[in-house]
Amino acid sequence: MSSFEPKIVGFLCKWCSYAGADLAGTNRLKYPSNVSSIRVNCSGRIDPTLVMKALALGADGVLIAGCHPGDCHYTNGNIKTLRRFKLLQKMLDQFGIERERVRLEWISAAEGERYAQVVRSMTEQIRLLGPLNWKHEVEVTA
Amino acid sequence: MHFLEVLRDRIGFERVEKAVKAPLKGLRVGAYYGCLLLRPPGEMKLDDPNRPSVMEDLLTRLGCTPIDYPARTQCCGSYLNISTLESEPLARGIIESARNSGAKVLAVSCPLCKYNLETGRNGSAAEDYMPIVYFTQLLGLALGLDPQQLQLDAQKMQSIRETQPVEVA
Amino acid sequence: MGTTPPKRVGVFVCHCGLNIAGTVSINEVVERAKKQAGVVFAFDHKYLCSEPGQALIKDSIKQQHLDAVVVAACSPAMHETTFKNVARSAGLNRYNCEVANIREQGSWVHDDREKATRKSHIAVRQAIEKVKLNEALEPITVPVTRKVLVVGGGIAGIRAALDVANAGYEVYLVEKSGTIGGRMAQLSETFPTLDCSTCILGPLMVEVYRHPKIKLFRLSKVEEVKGYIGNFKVTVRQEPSYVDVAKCNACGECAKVCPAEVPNEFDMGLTWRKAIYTPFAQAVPPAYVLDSKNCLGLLPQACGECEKACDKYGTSCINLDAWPEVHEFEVGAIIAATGYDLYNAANLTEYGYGTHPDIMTSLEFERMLSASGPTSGEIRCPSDGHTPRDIVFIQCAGQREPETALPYCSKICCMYTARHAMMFHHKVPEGQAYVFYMDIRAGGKGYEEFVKRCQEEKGLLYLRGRVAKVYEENGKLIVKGVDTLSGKTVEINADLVVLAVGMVPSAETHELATKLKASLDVYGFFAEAHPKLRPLESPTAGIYIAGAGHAPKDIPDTVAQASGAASKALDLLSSPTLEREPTVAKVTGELCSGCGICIPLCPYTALTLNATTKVAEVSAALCEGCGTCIASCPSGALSLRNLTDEQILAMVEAIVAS
Repeated sequence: MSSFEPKIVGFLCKWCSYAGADLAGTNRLKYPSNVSSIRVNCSGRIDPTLVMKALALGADGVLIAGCHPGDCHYTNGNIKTLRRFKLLQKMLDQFGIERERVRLEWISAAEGERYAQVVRSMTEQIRLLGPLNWKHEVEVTA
Repeated sequence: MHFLEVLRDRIGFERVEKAVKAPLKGLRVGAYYGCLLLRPPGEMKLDDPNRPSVMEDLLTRLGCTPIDYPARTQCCGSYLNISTLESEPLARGIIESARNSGAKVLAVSCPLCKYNLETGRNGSAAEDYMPIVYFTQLLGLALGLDPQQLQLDAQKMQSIRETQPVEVA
Repeated sequence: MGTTPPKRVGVFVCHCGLNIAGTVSINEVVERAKKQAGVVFAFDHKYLCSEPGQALIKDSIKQQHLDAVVVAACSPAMHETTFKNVARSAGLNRYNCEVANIREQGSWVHDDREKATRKSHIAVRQAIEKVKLNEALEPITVPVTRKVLVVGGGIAGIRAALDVANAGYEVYLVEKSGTIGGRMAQLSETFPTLDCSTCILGPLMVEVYRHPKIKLFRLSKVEEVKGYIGNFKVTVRQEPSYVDVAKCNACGECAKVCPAEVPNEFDMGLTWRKAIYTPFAQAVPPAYVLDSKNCLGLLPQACGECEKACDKYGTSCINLDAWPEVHEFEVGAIIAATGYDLYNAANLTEYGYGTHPDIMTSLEFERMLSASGPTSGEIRCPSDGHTPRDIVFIQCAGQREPETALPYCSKICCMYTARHAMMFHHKVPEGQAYVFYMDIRAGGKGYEEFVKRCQEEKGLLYLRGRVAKVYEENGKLIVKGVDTLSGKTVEINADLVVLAVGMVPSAETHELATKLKASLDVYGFFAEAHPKLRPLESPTAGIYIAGAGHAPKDIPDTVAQASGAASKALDLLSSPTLEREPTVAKVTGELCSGCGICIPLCPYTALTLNATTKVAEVSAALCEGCGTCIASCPSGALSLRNLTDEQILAMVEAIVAS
């Protein structure tokens, strides 16, 4: 379905990846509009259940973007995210959700082009996977 | 992959050394790298672009005595030599440099280098003669192959045999 | 669900000239906003950050009785503070203002008008949902310790320490070596005035040493830093010098008998020093230091000759039974001035550094130029001591070379090379200096005139071109390069070759940055908070930066930056209290099961488990608001103020609703 427009939620950390996304804008790079970002202080804020709920509420994909290991403004929040992400992937497998729908990326404040690339590739990948349509199957109790 | 890489990384110089049947008895060889083998370093990733050693390492295993000389990574003139004479001094300079450092044979890995070095020397005089061979020809010799099979002409073979130091019993 | 009436939200959409309006349909965004639940007013403006724009917001808040505002404009990173202050000036709490990014992540990155507008709707909706749930928080006030730590005793650290101390505050100055002075002390002269470096540095060093408000810890390193801006707890480990500073008169008898010899770092390895030594003649404090790493052994004592030699004259300054000391103290601000090292010239295989003693780095040549150096200021070839006739200086050695070495320019090399070449001619009038350069960067005050003077007066030969190779042939050094202005290759028989290698951050820079949680840039220098507008502070609050540890620079810029950093620190210290962001973690006691999972996760040790109530507690002053603990809490007892799970999910719903 080439007309399918994925809805992707992006959790971007304020110090690195959100700034990187802004840099992509300052540089006037172009990328698809399918990822809407939510600014968090640190990628470590992201509880895997938030990701699952996002998918359940209707997201076709979730992007978590944080600082490169070693660069976290809060020392090692991103490392904790990485640990949780590994477990999250196992959960996704158990739910039968394709792993490609949830991505963890390290994007620094200087990597505008990289952010644009991630958005482009993730949008296309999820477009090929098709809509998740979980909302219609599961009732969400927040 | 370059054949040198295959020999070094896939086969390993140890195995090459084990296969040597006729070691080259301390033949004083100058390895000539030219430039395209090593540069750009980020792309070629063969060896240190300024102080490479892969050919010398191989030649040592074949029983040669590699000679270090300053011009071994210098450009030979490349394609310029086919259409103009202006780059001839480069080739001559390389041979001079090798000769001054004591090399008796130059080993190359590229046919264009070989062409340039062979054509570039102004020597018709016998003492100017510097045999230019492919490193693979030396490899073949060391492995016991026939010089004719290796396309080593009589003049080159004579030079090689003459310049090998006499073995002291 | 209480009886609090829902917030009356106003939405303001900025055109930003054509930056947003050129791609996003502002009208549609405004109309769509009006339809969102809770929005009672929506308007647009060409430039909301301007005075009239801000006035519009302020007036609308009053006239429409708004409880909260959403500003759809550029990134919050740009003007969030501006708009929050506008809200406050109109009587709203700062957290009743949210910014929706419809420029950097909207109009600037999407060409398609419809898609860009739709994304803007989403961004606005998200912000509306968030602001509706925001608590009206007030900043947290914490006390400020009115003392400053300066790390690094070079010219940057010295200047910063003096400025803070002269303003009346206590300074702790931590220096790794046995003396302050840093790289500037190694210099012979300074461009463009040719002042004797030690002559102008010396008085400052003495001033630091004598200052009643400066406490100098030499042979010291910062071991740990805890706390936050205004309230840092610092632990410093000081190695013993084994010499009583008050008694030592630097007679040198101890060094005479010391059997252990090592390369002298101050002379860049060109000379040797004993294990007991004085770093240089004008060292401050002017006492000897025992380098225990290179001493034959203290545990057990292998030698002890120095102690005996010192006792011989009845002074006994040396005590070999000394131990490292740990100092703990509190400061409000920290200034990092850790300086530079030189790029490892051995990496530049084309120049052959390390293969021949007459190929040297600029700092080595500097030591040779210096009257206190290895040759008492005479230019000699290290190989055999003869006076060089032909000397080649290679600028941009391993710099401006993204492929193989450093991509950046170190700013000072064109200047000091001109000085070096000029000094060479002065000392060896019959000699000839050649300088290979790509460009001449002489941008400071008096710099261009200085370089021109060197070139014209002294007959230096400047060759615009690079050097391909430096090698030895028949006992001579050949420098093979090119002169692009004449189009000819050049071969020079050089007696001495000097490489102007680049400045890299000192090893201590990385160590300190980890301890301070201060960011480093891609080259390992201290990162500034903003490259244009905030060059004196680290993004980490309370940490200020100065000198070459921030970026390659010359002495005037270093001094200026040091004074600037001191000024920033003094600004912090000017008030006895400080306001901290209140968007911190919060524990809902009734939900906490006391599992303790959150406690070890906090990098700031802001979480503790109350032994009596068995409930987690957050220190609001220590909490930086990262949210890692919130994500770990199994019972949902932890929440992050003004970024709760409820708010995040409301924003997610705003995104995925069709």
